[in-house]
Amino acid sequence: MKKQPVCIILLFLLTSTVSGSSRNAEPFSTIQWAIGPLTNIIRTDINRYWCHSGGFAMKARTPFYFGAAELGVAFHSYDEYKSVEFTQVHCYLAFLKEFSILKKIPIYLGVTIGNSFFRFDSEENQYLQNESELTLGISGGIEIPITQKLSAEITSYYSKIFTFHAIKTTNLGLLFAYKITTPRWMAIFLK
Amino acid sequence: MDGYILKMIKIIYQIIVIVFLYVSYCFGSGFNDTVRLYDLLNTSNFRYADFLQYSVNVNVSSTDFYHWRISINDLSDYHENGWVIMIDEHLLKPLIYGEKILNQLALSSMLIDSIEIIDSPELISGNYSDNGIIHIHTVKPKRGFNLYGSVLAGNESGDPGPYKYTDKSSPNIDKIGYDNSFIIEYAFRSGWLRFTLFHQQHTFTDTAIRKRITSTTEDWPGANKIAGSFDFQHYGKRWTHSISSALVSNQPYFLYIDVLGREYPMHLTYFQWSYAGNRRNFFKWYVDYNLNQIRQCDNAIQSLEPYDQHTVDLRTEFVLDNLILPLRIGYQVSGDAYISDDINTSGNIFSQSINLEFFLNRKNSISKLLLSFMYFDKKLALNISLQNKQKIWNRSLLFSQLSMSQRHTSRDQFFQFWRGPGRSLLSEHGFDLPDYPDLYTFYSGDIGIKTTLFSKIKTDIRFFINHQQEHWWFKSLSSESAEDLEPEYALFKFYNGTGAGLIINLNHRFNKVIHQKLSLKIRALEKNSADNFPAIKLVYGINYQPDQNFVLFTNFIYRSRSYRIHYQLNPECEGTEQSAFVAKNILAGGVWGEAGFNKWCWNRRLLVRVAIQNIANKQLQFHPLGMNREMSMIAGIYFWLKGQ
Repeated sequence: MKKQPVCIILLFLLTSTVSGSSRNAEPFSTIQWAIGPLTNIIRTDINRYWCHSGGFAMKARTPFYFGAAELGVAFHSYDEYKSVEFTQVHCYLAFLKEFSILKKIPIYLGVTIGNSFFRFDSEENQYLQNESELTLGISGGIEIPITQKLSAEITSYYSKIFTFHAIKTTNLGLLFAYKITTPRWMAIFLK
Repeated sequence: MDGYILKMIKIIYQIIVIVFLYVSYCFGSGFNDTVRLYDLLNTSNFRYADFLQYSVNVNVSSTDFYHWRISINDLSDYHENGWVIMIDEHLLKPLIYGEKILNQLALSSMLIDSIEIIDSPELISGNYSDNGIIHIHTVKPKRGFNLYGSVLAGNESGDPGPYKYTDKSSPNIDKIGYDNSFIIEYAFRSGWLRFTLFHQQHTFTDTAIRKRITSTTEDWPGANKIAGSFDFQHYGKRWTHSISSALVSNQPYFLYIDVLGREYPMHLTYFQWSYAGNRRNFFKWYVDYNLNQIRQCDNAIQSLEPYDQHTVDLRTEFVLDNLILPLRIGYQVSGDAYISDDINTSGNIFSQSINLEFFLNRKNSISKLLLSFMYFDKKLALNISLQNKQKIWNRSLLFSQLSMSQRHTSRDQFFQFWRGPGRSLLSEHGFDLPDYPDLYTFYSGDIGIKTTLFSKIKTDIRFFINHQQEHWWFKSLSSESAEDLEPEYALFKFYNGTGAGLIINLNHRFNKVIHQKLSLKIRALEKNSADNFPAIKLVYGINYQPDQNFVLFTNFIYRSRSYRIHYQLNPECEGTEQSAFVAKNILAGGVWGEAGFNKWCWNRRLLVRVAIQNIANKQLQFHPLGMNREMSMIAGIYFWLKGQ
């Protein structure tokens, strides 16, 4: 069970690299910024103790050598359990592939690699109030264009946090995205 | 009858060995394993010493994934077994209790141009090494002012996370640590200057070792290394001068002592100063001074003896290249002394050696004879190596080497520390050693071919054989599994064994974007040894590089089962009495997998590295008492002001 996300990531990267040469856009030619709320949709073991009280995500996506690359950060807060509440900050990098099943409505599917930082609000040992852990996951989304640059995106993330007892979360978000041509200085930097 | 058959098999086996050695004699010398910076970057390795895991020419073991014990020649990795560390021809001797510690150099991975792993006898810069050299070549600065640095961090999975506040609480397994370096250099027309600052942290929080370590110190169980170095080089028309100096402090450093079965904290200070001069590549001379200072940590509960160790090496080399058959002559004087209140080396601290390299043929093949005469404690040790490289067919190279090395046991740093001269720490810890011969011999032979298959696959295949004698001491239980039996300390062994095997390296470039490498080592070992390295080690790596600024890589290392005689504290026992030890000897084989990417940005001024180690999250240990590296994430940023 533990190996599933890793196998999926490897399989994804393998298929992406094989089909990598047929990319549509020049790498780093555009950047799509997105922000919006997230909510936890499937109850897992962690919800036996804490309830997800809300979250939001910010991300930037750009065409990559194969598909697209995305840099994002997602904030989640969890309600109190035994006088302890905590915030999870999930910083990640995603490699995505675009599929166009419906005309002009792209669907993205990909894998995420990142780290989850936990900030515990507790009166216990101050030194142990922060922790971080490797987090792998799968990400998917549908992008609905509103104008040429503005779009709405329904996104779903499945993440596995590799704590001793793994934490699995599934989140759904509605994000608003705005696409820009990458400024020259930034394109040079990224290339 | 059975005894007769066994005797016949033994005789036939010995004949095969002798025939092989004779065949080796007819040919020439081995290929070195050279690792370049890009090879280092295309792995998940965190520190330059970690890269030895990926070389099939080297066997490594570790209890903590930080202090690597290295065997380049199939000898025990615990002894100081003859291999040497050199950086740009400077001889370095970072030693703790007689053990070489590769990761205590003031060296950032960013400074590495290549690491050459030489596993056959070689004469380099007046120094003859019979059992391997790790020679690190640093990058040559670009003209003008340059500045570069790196920030790297590793995080191991397995923390409790929020569950620590619940009934599912588990121990905290901390980060792997940090590696931060900052380098400033200035290169002018005739030379360069370079300053390096380095900070490294490695935590020892894995459950396998944490209990042992926290019982010896009140400090946080993490090594903190701070290092600085200064290098200077000047090129003249006729003269070249090079100075290398470094100061390293690591506190608390934890060293696992096999014979005592646990780690001990210490404050380690290592200072090194070397000077190398060269006149038109005809006459070269070197001065190397190394100081290893071991002190007790302030918050230590248990410590070993503090001491200072001074080593001095003076080397010269003459290169007579104008002769019909060129000749190199090296002379080396080495001295080392342990100084403390209790340990004083008196006499027998200097050794001298004359090292010669005769080229026997340079036309159709390169044949050379290496001779080394080592004089120490009124005894002479002789080393002979015959090596040959010969072009065959169109693109192939046949090589072979045959060597015989004699070594003084009492000159061995490890023996000197534990056995004397002066105070014998072994005796004080209850280890009574019998008299043993001071000179032992190592024979080795290689034969191999380097060629290109199907015009795309660079290949080298090598058969090796060695016959060795070594001395070894260790703890031994009267029964391997009996927890309630008192350990019986059978401490000294004399080993005499023959090992043979095959090394294959394949390097294949599919096309412009996909590149794969495979290295395989198979050892068939008949050796009565305390340790047994894996009989099979296989390393496979594949890189996908769609653009020069992006690389996706994955590597796999397979190690077969191995065997070590070591002991583990019984978790049910509180103390460290002898009865609390339980034997645990088998190390399971397994596959280590990793994947990651490197992205260069800003005209190759910035490099972002992300990798995941142990992707299958399997148990992986290098020592029965050592930690297991869970799935981990390595991330880092490198910066070069002038680009790379």
